Amino acid sequence: MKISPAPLLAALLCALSACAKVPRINTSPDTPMLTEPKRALELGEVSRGDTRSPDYGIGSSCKNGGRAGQALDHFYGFEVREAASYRFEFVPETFNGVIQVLNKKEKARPGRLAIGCKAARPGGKVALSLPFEPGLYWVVVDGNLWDEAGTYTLRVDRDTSKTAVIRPEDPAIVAPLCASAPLVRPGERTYGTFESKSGGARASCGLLGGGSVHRLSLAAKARIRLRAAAHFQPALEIRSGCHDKPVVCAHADAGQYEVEVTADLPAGDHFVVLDSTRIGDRNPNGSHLDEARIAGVYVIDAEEVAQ
Amino acid sequence: MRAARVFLLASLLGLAACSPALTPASEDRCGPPPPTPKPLASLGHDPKPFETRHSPEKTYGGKTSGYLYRFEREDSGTTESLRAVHMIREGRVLVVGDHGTALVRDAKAGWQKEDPGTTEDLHALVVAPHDENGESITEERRKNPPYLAVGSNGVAVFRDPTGVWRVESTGTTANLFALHHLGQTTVAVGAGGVMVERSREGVWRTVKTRTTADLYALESCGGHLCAVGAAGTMVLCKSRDEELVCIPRPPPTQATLRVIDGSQLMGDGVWLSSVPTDKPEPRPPPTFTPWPVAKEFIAGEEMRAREHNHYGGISEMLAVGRRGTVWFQGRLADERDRIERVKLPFQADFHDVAYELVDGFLVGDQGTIVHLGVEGVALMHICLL
Repeated sequence: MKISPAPLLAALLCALSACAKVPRINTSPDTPMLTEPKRALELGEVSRGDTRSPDYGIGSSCKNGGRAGQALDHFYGFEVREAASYRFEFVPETFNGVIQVLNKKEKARPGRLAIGCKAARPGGKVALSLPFEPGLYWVVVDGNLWDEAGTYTLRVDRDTSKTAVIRPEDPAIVAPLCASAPLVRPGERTYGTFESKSGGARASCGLLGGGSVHRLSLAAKARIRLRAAAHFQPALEIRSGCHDKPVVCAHADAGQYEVEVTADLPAGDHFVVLDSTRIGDRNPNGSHLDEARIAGVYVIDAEEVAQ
Repeated sequence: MRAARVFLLASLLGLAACSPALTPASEDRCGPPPPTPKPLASLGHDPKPFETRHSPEKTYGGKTSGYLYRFEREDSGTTESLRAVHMIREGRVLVVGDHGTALVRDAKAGWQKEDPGTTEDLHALVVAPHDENGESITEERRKNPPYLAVGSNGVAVFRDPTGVWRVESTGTTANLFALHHLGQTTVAVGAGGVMVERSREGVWRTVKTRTTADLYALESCGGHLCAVGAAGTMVLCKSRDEELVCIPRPPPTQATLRVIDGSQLMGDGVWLSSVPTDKPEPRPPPTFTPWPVAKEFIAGEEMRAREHNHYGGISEMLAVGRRGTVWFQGRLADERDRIERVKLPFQADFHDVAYELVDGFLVGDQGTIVHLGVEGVALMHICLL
C-alpha cells in the first residue's frame, strides 16, 4: 500500500502547532516591557488614549482572551492621598476593552495584586468602585480579547454613592443597630464580632463603618473608661444619641490593636461605636472586585474610674 | 478514505507522545504493591496485651472487618507522670514528664533516660523548626530533628539533633502546658493566660492574651491560632504586622477545654463542634456549640490529647483521657460521626498520645507507656504515571 506523506506531515504539523510560539502582535522581541507606569491618572480628570499605540506594560491578567505576552495596554499610576472609595468609569470607544486595578504590593509581598477588573464592549460604559487606602496603585487599560485595541476614555472620582464601600453613615442602617445594641456594662467585658458594612455605624475617627454598636446605660453621671482590642486597628467612639455627635473618639495608632477612651458621661443611655481605621486585607489570590471587607473579633472592657 | 486513515494514524501517534498513560505497558510500570506495614516490636511486659478489633474507615475500599489493635504496656523505668510524647515513623520516640524526665525508646535496650538539664515538670513537646528553605531533607535529618519542650515555672528545653539538651529562658515563671508551631515560630501557653512566642533562633517574647485563665491547648482552628483552657476560655490569635494579636471569645462552655481539633473542641465532659457558616470571605471567626453526636461518648470523661493518623488504608483520630479511656473517630468527611470509646484495662490517666501508621504511644501517670500496634493494615497502592 502506497501512502502519500502529505497528510501525515499535515497532521504532525497540526499537532506541533499547539506547542509553537505565536509572534506577538505589534511587538518585536526587543520591545522592552514597562515595569513602572508612564501615565498618571488624575482624580476628576478624563484620560483619553488609543491602545493601538500601546505602552507594552504589564497587561491585564483578567482579560477574556489574548495571547501570552500580548500587552496592547496603557499603563497608569494612580496615587491615592485619602482613604475612600473611588469610582473608575471606563468607555472603550472602538474596541472590546478591560480595565484592571492593581495593588503595587507592599514590601512584604513584592509583585502585583489584582483588586478590581471590569470589561466593556465597544462604545459601552462600565464603572468600577473600590475602596483604597493612601498609596500608589496601578490601572491597566487593555483589550479584553485577542488583538483588541482602540480609543477609550477613563475617569476616576471619589465615590460617595450608596453603593460605595466607604461612605458616611446611613441613618436608616444605623438606627436599627442602636435599637438592638447589646449592653456594655462597667466592670464587665463585652465580646463582639465586627463586620464592615457600607453605610453602617462609623466612628468619626474611624474609616470603614460596620454593625458594631453597643449601649452604655448609666444610672448616674460617671467617668467611664473603655478599652477595646481587636484583630483589626479599632476606633472607638461614645455618643449620647444614636445619631449624635461624638462625645469622644479615639483610634489605635498604626500597628496597634488596642484603643482606650475616657469620658465624663451624664446619667442615661449612651452609644458606643466600634469601627476600623483600616480597610480589610486584600484577597491574596487577587479579585475582580475586592471590597476589602473585615470580619474580626473584638472585646471592650468597661470600667468606672474616679473623677 | 486512505488519507483519512493516515490522518487517524498520525493523530494517534501524536496522542501517544503526549499521553504515556495510554501506552499498553502502563500498568506494569506501577511496580509491586507496598509491603504490609508491621508495628514496632513491642517492649511489652503484659502477659496478655489488650486487643480490640476496630475499623478505621469504610470508604475507598477500606477493610470492613477491621484491623487488630493491640495495646501493651512497656516498662518506662520511672514512676514519674509522663506528659508528652513525640514519635517519628521508623525513627525516634521521645517522652517527657515530671521532674525533668526525658526518655528515648531503644528497640533493644528499652526506654533510656536522658538528662534535659532541668528538674522542672515538662508538659509539652514538639519538633522545633529546623529546615532551611531549599535545603534537602535527608532521611538522617528527618529522623534526627531538634525538639523543644516546655513545662513548670516557665522552663523551656531544647534538644539539638545530636541529643544535647539546653535550657532556654522564656521570660515567664508561669507553668507552660502546650506548644504549637506557627510558621517559623513556636508558641507556648500556660497558667494565668500566659503566652510566649519563640523565634527560630531561640529568642522568646511575651504575647498579650487578654485573659488570666489557665490555657491548656493551642492549635490552628478556623483560620486562627486558638488557645483554650479553664472555664471554657477561648482566645483567637491572628498574625498582624508580624506579631500575634490575641482576642478572647465568649466561653462556649463553662467546662475546662483541653483539646483543639480544628473544627472541634474537647475537654472535661464536653465535645464541641464549630457552627457552620455560609457567609462569604472574609469568614467570621469560628463559634462552637456542644456536639450532640458526641454527648454519650464524652459524658463523665476528660479528654486530654489527640493525634491524627492519615494513610491510604487508615485514617482516624485517636484521643486519650483519664482512667484508661481512648476514643477513635473517623476522619473522612462521612466518617466524623463515627466515634468509638474504648476502656483500656490500664487505670492510668493518659496525658498524651502519638499515633502514626501502625504504631502509637500513649503516656500517662505513674510512668505509664502503652504501645499500640495495629495489625493487618493494607496500604493503598497509589501509582502516578
